[in-house]
Amino acid sequence: MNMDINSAITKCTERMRSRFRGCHVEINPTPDDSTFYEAVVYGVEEDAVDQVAHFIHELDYQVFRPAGSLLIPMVVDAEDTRNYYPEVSLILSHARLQSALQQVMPVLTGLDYGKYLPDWNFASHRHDDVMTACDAELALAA
Amino acid sequence: MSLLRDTFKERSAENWDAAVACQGSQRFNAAANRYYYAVYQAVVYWADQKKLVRCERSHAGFHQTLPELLAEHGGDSGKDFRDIFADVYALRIQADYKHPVAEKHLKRDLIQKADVVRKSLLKPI
Repeated sequence: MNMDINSAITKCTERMRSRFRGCHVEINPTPDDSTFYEAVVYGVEEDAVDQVAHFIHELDYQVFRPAGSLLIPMVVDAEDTRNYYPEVSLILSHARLQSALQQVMPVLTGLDYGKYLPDWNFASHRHDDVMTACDAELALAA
Repeated sequence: MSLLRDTFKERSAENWDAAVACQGSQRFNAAANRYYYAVYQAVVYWADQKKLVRCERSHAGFHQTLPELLAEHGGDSGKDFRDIFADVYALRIQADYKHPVAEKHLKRDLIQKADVVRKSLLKPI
């Protein structure tokens, strides 16, 4: 993976954490293969698991495949989170996810600009305020 | 022809049967692990037939290269097969390294798709 993609991963992770408001979100190399990555999201209600996994598949398509890597969804539902990861307290419901995704998608779009996510197209989800924030962030990084 | 090609085909079937048996006896972690390797060996078999890899040289790096080989050389279904392979891989990672796999994680839809992928790849080209 080149540094540009690594920067995108970092930004995506930070933004997902931010927009899921405290929900544990991590993108790590898989335990047995450091060239593959897992996107771990803890505390997802059963009715939102598929949506979160779908979102991670989108990240896979847009960020990881062009880099020759693989991103797998590791979505830990609320029950498993309570049982095995008690330090995670926030549970992400379906309703909350709807709201969160509306904000995460444009943030990812904001990383676009022909560099990180050239094919990302969520124009209908764009919000000026988030785009402005991303512009500022990219300007600072430039 | 690779000497081990047919062996991989047989192992794929053996692992699939073992996975089904493990799931039936509620050994879900073992089932998830065997499901993955049943598909993995089918992918290696297919890739060997395509002369993309050699069964005899199967190694850890195959886990890295096989998904993209599927996407690039798998025809119209290649990308779908890659996604299913990735989902079964995720299940295996959970089984081997994360919280225990339970019955709810072995979704019928995924298992059925994985079986379709496996059987498709095991057909002679």
